[in-house]
Amino acid sequence: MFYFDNASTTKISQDALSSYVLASEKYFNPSALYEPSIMVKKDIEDARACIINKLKGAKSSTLIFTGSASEANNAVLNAHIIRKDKKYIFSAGEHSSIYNTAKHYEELGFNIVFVPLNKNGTLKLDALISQLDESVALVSIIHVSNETGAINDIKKITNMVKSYNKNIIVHSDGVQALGKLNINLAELGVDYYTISAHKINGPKGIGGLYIAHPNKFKPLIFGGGQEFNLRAGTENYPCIMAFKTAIEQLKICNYAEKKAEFVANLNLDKLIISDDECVDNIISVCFKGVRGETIQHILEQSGYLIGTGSACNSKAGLNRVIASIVPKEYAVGAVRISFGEEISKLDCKNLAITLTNAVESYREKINK
Amino acid sequence: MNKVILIRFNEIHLKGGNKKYFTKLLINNIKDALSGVNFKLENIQNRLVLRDYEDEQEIINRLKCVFGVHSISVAVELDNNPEIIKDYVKTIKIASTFKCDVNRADKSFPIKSNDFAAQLGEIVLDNNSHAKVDIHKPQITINVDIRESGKTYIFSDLIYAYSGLPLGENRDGLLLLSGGIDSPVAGFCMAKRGLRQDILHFDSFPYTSKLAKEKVMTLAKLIKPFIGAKYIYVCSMTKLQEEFHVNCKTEYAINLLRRAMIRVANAVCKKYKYKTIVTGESLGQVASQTIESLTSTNAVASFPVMRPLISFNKDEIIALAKEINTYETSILPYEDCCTVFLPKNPVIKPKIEEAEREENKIDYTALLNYVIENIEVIKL
Repeated sequence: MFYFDNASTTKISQDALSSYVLASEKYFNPSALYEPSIMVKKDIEDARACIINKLKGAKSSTLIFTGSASEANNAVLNAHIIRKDKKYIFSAGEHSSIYNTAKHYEELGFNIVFVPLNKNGTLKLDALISQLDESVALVSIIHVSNETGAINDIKKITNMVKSYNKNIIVHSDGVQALGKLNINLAELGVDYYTISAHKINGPKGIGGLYIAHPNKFKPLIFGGGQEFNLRAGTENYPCIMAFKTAIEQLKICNYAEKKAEFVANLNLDKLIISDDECVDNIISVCFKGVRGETIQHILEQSGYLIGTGSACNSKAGLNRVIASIVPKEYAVGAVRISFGEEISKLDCKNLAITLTNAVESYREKINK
Repeated sequence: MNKVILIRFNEIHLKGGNKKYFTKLLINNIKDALSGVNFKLENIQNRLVLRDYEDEQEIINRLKCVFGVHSISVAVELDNNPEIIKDYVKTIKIASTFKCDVNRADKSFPIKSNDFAAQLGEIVLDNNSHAKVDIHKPQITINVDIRESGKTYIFSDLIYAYSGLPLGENRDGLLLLSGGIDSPVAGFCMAKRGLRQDILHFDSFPYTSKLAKEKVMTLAKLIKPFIGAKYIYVCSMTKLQEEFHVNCKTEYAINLLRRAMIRVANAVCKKYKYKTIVTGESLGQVASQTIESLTSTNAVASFPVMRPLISFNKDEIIALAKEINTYETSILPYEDCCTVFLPKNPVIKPKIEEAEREENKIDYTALLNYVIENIEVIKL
């Protein structure tokens, strides 16, 4: 089996798994006052500090552990979408956990604006600028697109927004950026930044929300006062420790060669969405006249697991992000390849050849 | 005093010489439906009495799925003794309108039905200051059923089941289950007439999702208590569909596919000894269900094709699908194999000769044999 869907999730590393198992043995509730609990609590604080350090968080910032990146994204919107006379800006390329949450608030009557994308999936900066006015309260822009790998220049965006009005809250969903870009949160200048463990060979069920100004944040989940009263619920100690290990071992891998090898061997008519403004580990390709999910199934039969841009049914519709940047006939046939460390250059070449054959034979069968 | 569940059946009464056979079938089916539950079942004069049980609601839910059962009541069982019955009625608490209905099958019981009903009504009134008699539209009816067996059953509610005939011993029917709204309902309807069925499903992987097959497995499990299925046959039509698509007239694609499905069903029936094919077709619902389309598919059937929904409107089918709890699964958005190579303008009045001409354009027999040989048999 060749796994080319690392943007969806990654395999947990042996070390992260060991940390998880080891921590599971220490079952004590971190909130209790006896010695074993105090040790557990201390480990959690070490993990928090480790992650903030690694991501170079600003002074007096913190990070809260959440049950998922989706929860972290929801928490930011919940804390700041409060007034109906304010404007809340998002990119059209946000992950569903932002997009659908924003849509929910829109239905409740809030002023929600989605800024359109360029052809490669990056945000149209001009369009963002044209939306800035005195009513803007929040800008949330994904750092790296989970669909195309497009990198948004968050530092530039934050500077732009904050120089317009320093009180505008800036959030970025950094789930796909972590491990692909060098992240310096203090330099990015964001108020919030979302991360996830399972995209970096950590466990599922744990995300993190970086909070530059904890006093401005209001919790999504109330309860027993955990996480500095910012996110209630007994801490997921095993996942936190495994997250820490994943972060400690995080290195920026270069996938440029693998991506180039893949593209070089993809010898057929296609539309590659991803370009130089995208991270190298994600590449979205569209094939006219085929359906992405069928291609995914055909490749699975040959042992290749890839991502798909659109589901194999007309009712669920097209992939929202892809369909907003390419014509419909291409969006239907979108697939997403995302490389991981365990994949070799040769694997990438073989995938491209298998994919080429699959699409060609599909086209022969279907498009008479 | 015992708490029991009364199970009534209706159509079996009409079966004359076969009544014993059908009653035995029903009892066996009830025992199957209640497997894993502790109870005792007694057959007394045209009804069954279920006693020594624990989980009343679970038993009622399962009994409602057993065809042949007309209605169910939770009852109190007493001896046919007026004083004992009166003592019990004294304990009944009512704060609404009510009436007492006495059915005296035991003619040795000393008080006539109407007189006894009046006496019992008075007892209720004496003991419940807010109770009021209303013999026309009472909120509560206290039924007192005095049986020849020497036992009296007192109950208020009748929980209606689906009646019909008990499922036969053999799995005689083969239900073509697509994943849509109609076919589970068709299986239910035929099972109501006693037809035990297994399931045949067609898929078009890789053109359809694996989730589509999972959806069908879920549907199969949902209708299993009704239709008594043990096996689901999954047949991939991909190769045939590809050939139709490349070589045959596009507008005939669906007609050809449905004819192929019936032929596959023929083969499954022959091999596993099913006697009839069941489909969820409804006249005129879509292009493939016009009288001409049905004629074209029917022409290749070697077994009777039962189409219980043929005269149903879509909303009637949906109402039944909701009733049997398959609707929410059926509307999950995964395509079944019919829609993959869907032509824009499917032929509405296909001709058999034309369909045959199209079939002759490809190596039909070999392809059909291939898909039949590769049928996956899954135990439910």
